[in-house]
Amino acid sequence: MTTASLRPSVQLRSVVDAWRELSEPQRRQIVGAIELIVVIGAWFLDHSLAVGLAVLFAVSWLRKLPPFPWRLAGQVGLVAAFGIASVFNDSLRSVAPALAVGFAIWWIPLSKRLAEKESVPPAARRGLFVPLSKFGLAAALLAVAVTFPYYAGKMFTIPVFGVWPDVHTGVIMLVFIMMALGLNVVVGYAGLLDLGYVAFYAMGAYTVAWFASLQFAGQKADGSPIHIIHFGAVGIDPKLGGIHITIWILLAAAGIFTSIIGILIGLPTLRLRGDYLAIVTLGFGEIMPQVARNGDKFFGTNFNLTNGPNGITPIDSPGFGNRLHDWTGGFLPSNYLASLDSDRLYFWTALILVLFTVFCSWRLRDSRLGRAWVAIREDETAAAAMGVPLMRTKTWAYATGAFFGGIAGAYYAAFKSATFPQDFYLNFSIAILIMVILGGMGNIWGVIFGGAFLAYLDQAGLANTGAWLNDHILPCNANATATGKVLSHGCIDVPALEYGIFGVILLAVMLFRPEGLIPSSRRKLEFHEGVADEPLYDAQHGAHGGGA
Amino acid sequence: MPDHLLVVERLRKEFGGLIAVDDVDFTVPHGSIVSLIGPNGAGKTTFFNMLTGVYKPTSGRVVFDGADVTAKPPHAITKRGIGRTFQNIRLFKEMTARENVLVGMHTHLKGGIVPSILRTPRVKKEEKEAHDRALELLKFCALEGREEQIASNLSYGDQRRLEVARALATRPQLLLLDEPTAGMNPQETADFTAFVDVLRDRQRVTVLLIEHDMRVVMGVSDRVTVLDYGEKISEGTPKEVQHDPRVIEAYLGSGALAS
Repeated sequence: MTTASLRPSVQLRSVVDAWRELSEPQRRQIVGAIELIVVIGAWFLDHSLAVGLAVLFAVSWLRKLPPFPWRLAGQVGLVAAFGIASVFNDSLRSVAPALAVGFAIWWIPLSKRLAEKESVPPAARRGLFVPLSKFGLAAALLAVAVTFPYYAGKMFTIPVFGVWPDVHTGVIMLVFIMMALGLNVVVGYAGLLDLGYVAFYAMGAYTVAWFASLQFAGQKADGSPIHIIHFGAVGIDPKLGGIHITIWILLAAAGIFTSIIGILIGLPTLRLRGDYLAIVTLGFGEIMPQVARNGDKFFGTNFNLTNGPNGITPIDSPGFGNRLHDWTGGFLPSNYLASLDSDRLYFWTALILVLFTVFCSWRLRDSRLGRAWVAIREDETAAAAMGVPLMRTKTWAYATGAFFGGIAGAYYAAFKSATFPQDFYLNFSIAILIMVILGGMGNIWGVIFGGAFLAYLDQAGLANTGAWLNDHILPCNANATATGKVLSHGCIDVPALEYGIFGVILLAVMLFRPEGLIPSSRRKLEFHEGVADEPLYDAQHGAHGGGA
Repeated sequence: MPDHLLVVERLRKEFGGLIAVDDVDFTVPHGSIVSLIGPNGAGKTTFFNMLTGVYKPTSGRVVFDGADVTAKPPHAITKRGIGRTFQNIRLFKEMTARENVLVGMHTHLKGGIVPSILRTPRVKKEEKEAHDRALELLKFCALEGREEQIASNLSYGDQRRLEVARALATRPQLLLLDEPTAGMNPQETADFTAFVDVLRDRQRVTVLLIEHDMRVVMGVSDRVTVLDYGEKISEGTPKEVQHDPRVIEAYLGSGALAS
């Protein structure tokens, strides 16, 4: 044997060659055997990991079968198997229903293809398949989302990531989804890279904090408040100082106020293009937390605008008041915080806000303005030559993004009942941007997925993953005291690495799938073929000297 | 006065020390096809870009349809009725052919942000009409059946014609075509020049054509203006220009006359 054949690259190549020579059934046998070994191996490491892998492999095998009747039979069989298994093992109880729902949703897009088949009777096509394929997927996912508070606590353990997100985490995921959808209008639709989106979140949060807290109570000599302004707020003592306006009005006010700020920020900055715009928005994103931090003595006056680093807390609870509560027969809650299931109420309210955002994004995408945004993203010069006013159109994108960001920020502040300057740092803007990029810029489904996934990682997923690694893989001594280091006593502190992990995710997405996990059909093309956008127009009209 | 749709007076553009367009006077009569020709680098596209507001002229005036449009922003000039295509095709590549045309209608549609979200009956009606008009224009430009194709998937000739359809959607009085036959073979070129003639008659637009290939414009143009090194060196009917010694010199070099 020569030395050359011992080199790893050569051996690898011979393995690849051998693999290529195998027939399809032979390959399947080998893959199946490997998967079986992996599942058995995983069983010794962690039972839930083994179950998860088994489900994953089983589903991937089912996809290779013809859809009717074999795939359907396989899926029914899999659900039945887990149903039977759950009799012997309590922790498997939720797997079978979850699988059933998952498979049901999976069939919906397929029904469209079935509907086009000649062999399907026309009556069945009209009656079932077409409406299913048109709205079915959205309706099914909506049903899964609405019922989330009922099953969230009863779900199986996700392998490695740990327990299923609870309702509280669900609220935060929804708020992040809303912010990501707002940023998607700016970055995904209009192609304006905004690194200071957190500024809009901050504006929204402070709008609620100012008008639904003790912040502007003031104090008379005897200690009683100077200003008492109440309007529709719930659960507030009538003698309590400060401004207390109902959260519902403030959400709308925050959206409008923030979009005005967006226009004001946009007017000077949107003349810039690409990198220059990104840098200026980065600046605004940095200014905002500094103003919040130093706003307790606003511009050297003694006026306390933001209460400085202490933040503004508590913020009034949302609610509809007793009269509306009684009038609707108890359907509308009178006071969220006073409710036993307050997280559920916050969750459904957030869901309504997200649906509102999705609806607006979806309608705008196919409107005159939405087309103009995409046109600007793809070629500013050509868009201007076709009569699209660049500044005005970009400013609308900014204002729209700011509107949703402001509402999301306002709602989040009301949910946390607090707002602090340290919530508004740069890493927040970056996190929202990664959500948009990970999911797929410009695609509503993609952004929803990206927002939900990263928000989950941020809130629970990373901590759970860390715990799993320490329990199962690392030689971690659980009794050791925390030292504040990322690595100590063989344990790893995964949440401390959060932005490193987000960075790796961003890198991986940009390298392997730059159009995002669920791309819009347009974006996909753009990233694979490139866009020639010569900044011809800027050369003369831009505020900066660079460009052409 | 407006027997001339476009009047350009002493238009000049300097890039640093380089004079790209040197005090050019130029007119386009209503309903005509006028060509601007010249060797590569003669300043034709710079001239075009000044007409459409992409570049600001160093000095001079552009009067369109009786109004001074010098140095107005591109979208405002488009709104007044100058539509254009680009030398190197600049379609919105990831939009469908139909959407490209719809973007061209931007200034003539009204749908604001809130009515668009609510999809009011007015917006619905407007969008419906715009879609119908877009299909009509695509059909006129021989793109029927390709309305829903992504622009970058269209063939080269289709992309050229889609650019024209998109420019027509802005409802121009004056259509500027910047080297529309660049990269076409002789047959495609002949087809396209025939198309330009039809365009003028059927869409009632005045056409200003840029070319560097003299043969293309001879058949179709009413008048031809020749630029060289930013200066206007000749003007007249195609025949007059063809035999102007300065034009021959510019195209073939000074030796050409001696032989």
